[in-house]
Amino acid sequence: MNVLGRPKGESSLEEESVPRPDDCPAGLTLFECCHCGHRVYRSRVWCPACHRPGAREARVALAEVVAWTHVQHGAQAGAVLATVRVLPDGPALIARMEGMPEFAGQRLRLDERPTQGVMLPWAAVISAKGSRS
Amino acid sequence: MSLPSEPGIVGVGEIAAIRHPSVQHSTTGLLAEAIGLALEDAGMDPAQVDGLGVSSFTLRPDRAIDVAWQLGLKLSWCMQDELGGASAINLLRHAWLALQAGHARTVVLAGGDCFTPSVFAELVRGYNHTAQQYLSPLGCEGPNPMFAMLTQRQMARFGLKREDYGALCMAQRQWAGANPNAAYRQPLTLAQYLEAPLVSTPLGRFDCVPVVSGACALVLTARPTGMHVRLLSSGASYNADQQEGDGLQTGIATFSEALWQQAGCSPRDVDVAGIYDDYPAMLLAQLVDLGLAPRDDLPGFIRHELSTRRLPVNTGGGQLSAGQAGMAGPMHILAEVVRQLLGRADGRQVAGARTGVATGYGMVQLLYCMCANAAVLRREGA
Repeated sequence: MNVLGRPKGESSLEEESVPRPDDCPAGLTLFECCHCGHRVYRSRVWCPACHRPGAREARVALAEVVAWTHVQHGAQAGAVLATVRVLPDGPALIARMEGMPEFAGQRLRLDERPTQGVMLPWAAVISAKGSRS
Repeated sequence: MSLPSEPGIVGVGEIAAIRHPSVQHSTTGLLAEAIGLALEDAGMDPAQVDGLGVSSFTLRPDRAIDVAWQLGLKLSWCMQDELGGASAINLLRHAWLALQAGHARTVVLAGGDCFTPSVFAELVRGYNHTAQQYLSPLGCEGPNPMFAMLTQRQMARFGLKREDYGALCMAQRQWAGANPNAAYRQPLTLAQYLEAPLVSTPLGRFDCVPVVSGACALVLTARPTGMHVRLLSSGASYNADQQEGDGLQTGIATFSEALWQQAGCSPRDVDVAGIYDDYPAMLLAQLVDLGLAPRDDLPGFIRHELSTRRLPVNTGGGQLSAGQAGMAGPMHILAEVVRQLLGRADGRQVAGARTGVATGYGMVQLLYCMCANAAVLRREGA
């Protein structure tokens, strides 16, 4: 993984302008433990790090590609999905892709879109060049 | 003063995979058939059974105790397991303790499911809350896309090509040729593997287990007399990394060293292995975690150990060829090792098989499965 060693504070929304539906706020809501700060997606009843209840919402916007797949069969044929790692410190989660990633480590912008009636994570490649740190 | 009793597995029963179940088939009916065959194999009578463990997705609204009622079994021990691919070995571990403790004298463990296409689709779409509320609506329906991504990462990390996974699938299909219960028995060629339609890149059709209906059962007794199979050691790891790990290493890595130590043997002593094969990538991951395959040369391992049968793995064809009948799948993996150790694997018997290992892997959550377990087994009393 090339998450480590990358400077913090890179989660900037100004880096890109991939089109997205107007009704979708930029960024994705994670859940951050009120006690130890550990971040998860999806929310859990107790924090997996300190086993205490209580989390606040935390907004993130930048992630990198870990892996991706193009579904070819069944009701979801055509969907592109990616395992992404939220930068800089995780967590990893599965997001629906707008477009096709090109390599592991490629930078992505995250947002939430209504998908089959639920607000769910989507990701889009920030630029064709990306970053192969 | 009585010596601690040492239980044994004494019988195996499995029905042929059913690719298209009819209205006459029911989960309870399939379980009953497998239980009957296992008791017959053990030379025992249903009246002797006082323990029953059942794993099934499609038994509902019935439970294990309803199966007992349907079969007229009077029990002092009963349990149900829902750990998916890890259910068979989980049941085995519990049953072993129950027999040692004297809670039962004869235990039957059975796994089985009866799927129509719509029942199966409904099961995977709503597998748990994560699947129901997040992954399925997102387009990540069922486990295929998730394991496609794990496979992509494994290929990059270990230098594996689709041809390597193809060779693994071909080796298992070769074994299935001698298993009359297997769903697919015709030899598979590399061209067929590579040319099959893709399911979710890079997974093709032959990387994904065919869904079938079926059932499989084991009989265990507290004090076996003749030939039997003993549990030398077992280990389990459930939700060990909270879905915050790598996914290409299973929970087996956390207990593998202790597993061999407790068994008093090493991976080199394994004559036959049953490795939970929901996908070729996860089979390789478990073999690495067990110390049966080298981390630095998986393509070579497939070529020199699996294709040549120097290491007999999934000798019934595994789920990739025999079919995955829901929770009969993990029981099939375990039962095939037991069958080999009992010397009852007609037509595919590994000569002199004495020590075996079986694994389970199951219950997808956010990114991969939460549960992994393993058992080291040995033939006794021959």
